[in-house]
Amino acid sequence: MDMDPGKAERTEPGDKRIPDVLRGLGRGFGGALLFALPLFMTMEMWWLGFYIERSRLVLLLLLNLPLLALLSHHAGFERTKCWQDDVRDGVIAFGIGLITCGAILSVLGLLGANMTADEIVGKIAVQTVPASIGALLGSSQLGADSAQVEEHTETRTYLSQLFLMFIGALFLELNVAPTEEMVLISYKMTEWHAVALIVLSIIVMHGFTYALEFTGTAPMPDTGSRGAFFFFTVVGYAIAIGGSLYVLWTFGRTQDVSWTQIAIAASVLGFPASVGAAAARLIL
Amino acid sequence: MGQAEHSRDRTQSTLKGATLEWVVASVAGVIVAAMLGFLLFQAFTKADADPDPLAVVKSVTPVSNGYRMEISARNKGGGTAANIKFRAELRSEGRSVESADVTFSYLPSHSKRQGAFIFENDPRGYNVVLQAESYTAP
Repeated sequence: MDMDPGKAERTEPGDKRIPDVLRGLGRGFGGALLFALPLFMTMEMWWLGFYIERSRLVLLLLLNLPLLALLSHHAGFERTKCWQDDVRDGVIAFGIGLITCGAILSVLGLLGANMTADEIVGKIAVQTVPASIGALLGSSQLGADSAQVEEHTETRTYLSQLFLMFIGALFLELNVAPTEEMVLISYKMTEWHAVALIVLSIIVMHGFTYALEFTGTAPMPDTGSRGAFFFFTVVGYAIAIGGSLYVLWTFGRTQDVSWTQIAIAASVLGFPASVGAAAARLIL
Repeated sequence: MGQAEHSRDRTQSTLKGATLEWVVASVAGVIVAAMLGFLLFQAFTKADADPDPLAVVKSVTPVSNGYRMEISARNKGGGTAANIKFRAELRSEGRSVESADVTFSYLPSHSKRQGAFIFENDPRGYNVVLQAESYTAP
């Protein structure tokens, strides 16, 4: 599990110069820090490390690898030639995420010798997912030049756009879902608040993509603003809600909870997620 | 879909793309509408907005320093209770032998939470009185 992708990369005979690779790895660590630092300093995230159900944690980690590979394919700034390259970049990002989590949590005094291996591994593992997403986005230059960015952007398909929205949503969900405030808000809200929040989320999401994105560059058939609303905003919101439910389930927030409370919690989490989804389309 | 085909038959590829988009958009529309519909239905049919807590004993297990009595707390009301405290008392012939408290941070509406008391005496030999004592609004 604790592999050192840096060494593997360095010893591999390739067509890139070693300083470039090192710089790429450095960017990966920078990205992991930038994206996951808020989570390293969130105490609910440390607690999750020991109480998260192990099967769900394993599933999250297993899903993380194809997610990273797909992200490398769709958003990696290098135009990857084959799926092996994507998987390789995904594994490297995963490794960078692991090392960053281990190092930062240790230096913050959150990992101690008196802890069981189970707790330490759990704490690192639960933080690795956002860190590795950050690493991949940060290290997008890993082993390639960025000359083909434009071409990649143009050939982006509809599903690819949806995937990027999912990543943006997932990222914000992972950031806010572990905090107690998230569930506290859902307890304070009534069903009416939740309905209003859903409507607000959809409006905000549509505003985001409309105001900043739809200037005629979207590679979809020209369906007008109504099409954009259904094909991107509604779909994006459904993706945000789906991701919210998955994250809530993974973090054990749906255990023995009524469907109404789950729906309200999903709408709460769906708000930042929809902003993340909209932003991801613009940024990635 | 190859680039050549894409440029050769633009209408068809647009149609294909549109079909995919329609399928995805329909599924998404149903999901969002279902969620909104469900919440609106709950909002209209909601009868009570106050917590109605209740706890039942699930099991008793001998542990290192006594007996663990696991309970399942349930909120049958439509409001969430915070800092909800349950008190369990072991009684013998009307006289209290031992008591213990447990506090749940939250007991959401129509939901369950698990907790446990630890007693010196075996609760199975006594009358157990399990009572919700207090809560705050979240």
